Amino acid sequence: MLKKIRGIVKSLAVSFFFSFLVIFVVFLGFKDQINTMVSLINKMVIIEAKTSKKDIKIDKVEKRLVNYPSWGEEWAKLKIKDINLDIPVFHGDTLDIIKYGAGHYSGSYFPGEGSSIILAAHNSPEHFYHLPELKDGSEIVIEAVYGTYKYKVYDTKIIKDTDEESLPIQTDKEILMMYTCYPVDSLGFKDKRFVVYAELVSESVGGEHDK
Amino acid sequence: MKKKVIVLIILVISLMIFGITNVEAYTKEDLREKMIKTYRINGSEFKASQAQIAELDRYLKVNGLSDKDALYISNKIDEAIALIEAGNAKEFKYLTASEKQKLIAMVADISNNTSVKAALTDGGVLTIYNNDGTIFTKLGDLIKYTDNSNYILLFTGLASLIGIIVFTKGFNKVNA
Repeated sequence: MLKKIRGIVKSLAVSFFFSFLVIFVVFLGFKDQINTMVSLINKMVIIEAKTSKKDIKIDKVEKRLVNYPSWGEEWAKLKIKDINLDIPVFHGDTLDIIKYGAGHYSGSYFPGEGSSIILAAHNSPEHFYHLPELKDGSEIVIEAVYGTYKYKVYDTKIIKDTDEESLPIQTDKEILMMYTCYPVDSLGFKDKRFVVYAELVSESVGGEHDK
Repeated sequence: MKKKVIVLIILVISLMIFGITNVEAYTKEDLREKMIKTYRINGSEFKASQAQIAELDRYLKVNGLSDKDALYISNKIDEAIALIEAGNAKEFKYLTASEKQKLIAMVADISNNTSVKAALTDGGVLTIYNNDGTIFTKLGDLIKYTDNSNYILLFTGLASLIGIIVFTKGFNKVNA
């Protein structure tokens, strides 16, 4: 009996050792292909994502939305030409939402409200993988269902995942902050976030975004 | 003289009734002020974050709140503060299991007795619902985990493990 257990333990030990070796080699050689495969699996469930059916409007005088998208509903498109990004934005940023696109932190404000806006997304190739490539001056466009808002990047930062002060919610100025786990291309648990800060440069209210 | 005294008594009683009525009148604005002020509990300062204030304002705008419900919730907040003051915890995660269950029960009580529907988990995630039953928000940490690479690790790890086990078994058989 003991001999059998020793045999099993020996097999498992050898297996674990070679597993880690294989993971390391596979990661080095095929990381991009696996990333793409995982992304494709995610894309296959995008058809379940909800698009807002509400007629969402903004009160330009009060600088507040008149009504709001529901939790998990798509209410905008996020477009960044410099990194070829064109993804939907959903209200809410829990894990079940951000697998479909960018998630809007519900404790922040909406474009046009003259306050902080926080968006989060996965560091996968079709989401925020290329976010660290953005430079000062890069243009970001949010085509919301109630208007189009353009922002210009003015800063980027690497922060700890507990550093909430680097994502300040304030109502003095319209600042767009987008973040993702960092480094974007390493394995394992990430305790850092890459944050992009952008300020509003122009807005045009009215008109729906292309769906 | 007697008439003057009677009038004075009636005036005083009216003022008292008016005063009592006024003291008991509690609006959603009063509740909002209560919820955004700073509290000092167990040596630490507690204050609603700007994010929580933004969500509170949005909730009140979308769903509204009656005076009766505002007062009910205000009383529950007092109970919650008393509960936390009696313990030593400075954060939700450091509350004892019993204290957490009491807070969860308070939220359930608010849900059962007012128009505000909410649920609190023992992980500290508060879900608040709109009047139409849809989710209004899930209040958790500001900074979320947005990494995908663990899927890669899991996938390659499992595949490698199965492959190596099969290989090792085969190797052992050959050498037996």
